[in-house]
Amino acid sequence: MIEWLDQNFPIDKNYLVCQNHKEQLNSFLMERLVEPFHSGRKHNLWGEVAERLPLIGKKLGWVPNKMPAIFLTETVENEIADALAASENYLQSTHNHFKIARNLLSRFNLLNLAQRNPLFLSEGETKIIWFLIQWVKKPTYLIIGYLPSSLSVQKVKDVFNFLNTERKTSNPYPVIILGYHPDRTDWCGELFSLREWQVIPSLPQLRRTRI
Amino acid sequence: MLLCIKNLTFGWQKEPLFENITCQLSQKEIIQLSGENGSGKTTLLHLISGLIPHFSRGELLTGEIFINERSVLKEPPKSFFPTIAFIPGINLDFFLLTESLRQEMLLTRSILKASEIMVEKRFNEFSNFFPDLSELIDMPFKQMQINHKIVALTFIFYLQNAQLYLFDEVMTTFSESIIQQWYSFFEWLSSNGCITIFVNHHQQVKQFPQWFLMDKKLTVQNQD
Repeated sequence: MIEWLDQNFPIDKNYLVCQNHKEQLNSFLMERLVEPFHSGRKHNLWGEVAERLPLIGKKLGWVPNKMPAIFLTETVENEIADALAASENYLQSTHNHFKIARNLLSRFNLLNLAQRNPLFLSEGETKIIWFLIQWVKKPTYLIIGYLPSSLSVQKVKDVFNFLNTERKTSNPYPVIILGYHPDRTDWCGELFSLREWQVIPSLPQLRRTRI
Repeated sequence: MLLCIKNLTFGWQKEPLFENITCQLSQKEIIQLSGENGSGKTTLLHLISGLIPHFSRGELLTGEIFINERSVLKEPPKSFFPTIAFIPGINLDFFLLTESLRQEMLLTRSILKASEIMVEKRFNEFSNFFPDLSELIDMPFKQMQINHKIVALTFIFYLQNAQLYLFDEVMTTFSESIIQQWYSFFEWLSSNGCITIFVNHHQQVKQFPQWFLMDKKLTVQNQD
């Protein structure tokens, strides 16, 4: 999987991947990253797959189309702060991590969620918070299956504004891989003409199943 | 068939998510429900379907929801079976009781004591809109993609002759051509006297009136 990413998505660009259906990129990742663990086979649980998982966890951020809440702490800001702390090898999040978390939330007009229990978020709010958690992990690749699913038009714009601003200020900046469907391009149409975005006409094949 | 919401206020905590919502729908109506993320669209559908307060609760709930003059909030959910069809965009497995569509059909037949002819008729009617249905019959649910599960679950409710359909943002899963089939299906349901409410985040659908949730209020916008 890591080789597949390195080979097909060189780090000097961002990518728009054309999908056969809106779930294609999502299902592709699900099949490779989640299902091996559901199979319960020893090889998958304890072997090569498990060994390589921490590596891919650092390298890859993934925002699925729709997601059940999978949060571990009691507040939204804590959730983001912890992810940030972990990415910087801290054992515990510090005051500064919380400050950054609140700042990120305010950029999406979601500061009101800071103290909310993440289990009580709506589907769209969950997706934005999960996006921020993936972002602060500072992955090399950030894959977003199909951005408009679960998100309002305004929130899709907020994500693009955020990415544009971060592009100028953030270092390292991840390779963004966005799935789109040719039926609906109104939300990402302007990216097609930008030099830093490359269109991939179909999802590249992955021959080997190892991650 | 009549849905009536009176002075409905709800909050997960003490702060209301929306307040004093009052509106009414009579049979054949199709409504698109819109609003920002977190404005309470899904919660409103959960309330109408009775999932709240019967399966989860908030700290604040006042007002009433009536379906055919019976209180959804007070009467147990089973007393509304099979009137209400709630089709979520996530966690569909929670609503699929068996392992395949064929088994679900058998279960529905036995519960509702429906004849084979009736099942076949409903199957053919539904297939007019979703021709892929026949391919899904023996496919295990766990092998289905989310869009297939949505079609399968909708068919189960259709088979049960539900009268009020609540679709919680299922549209973004489908391509535009399939979405048009869904709109045709909604119109078919309407011609059969059903009410449909669907959550819609994108591209306002011109032919259907809109309920818009914003700033804790529900605004009703009728189309030209």
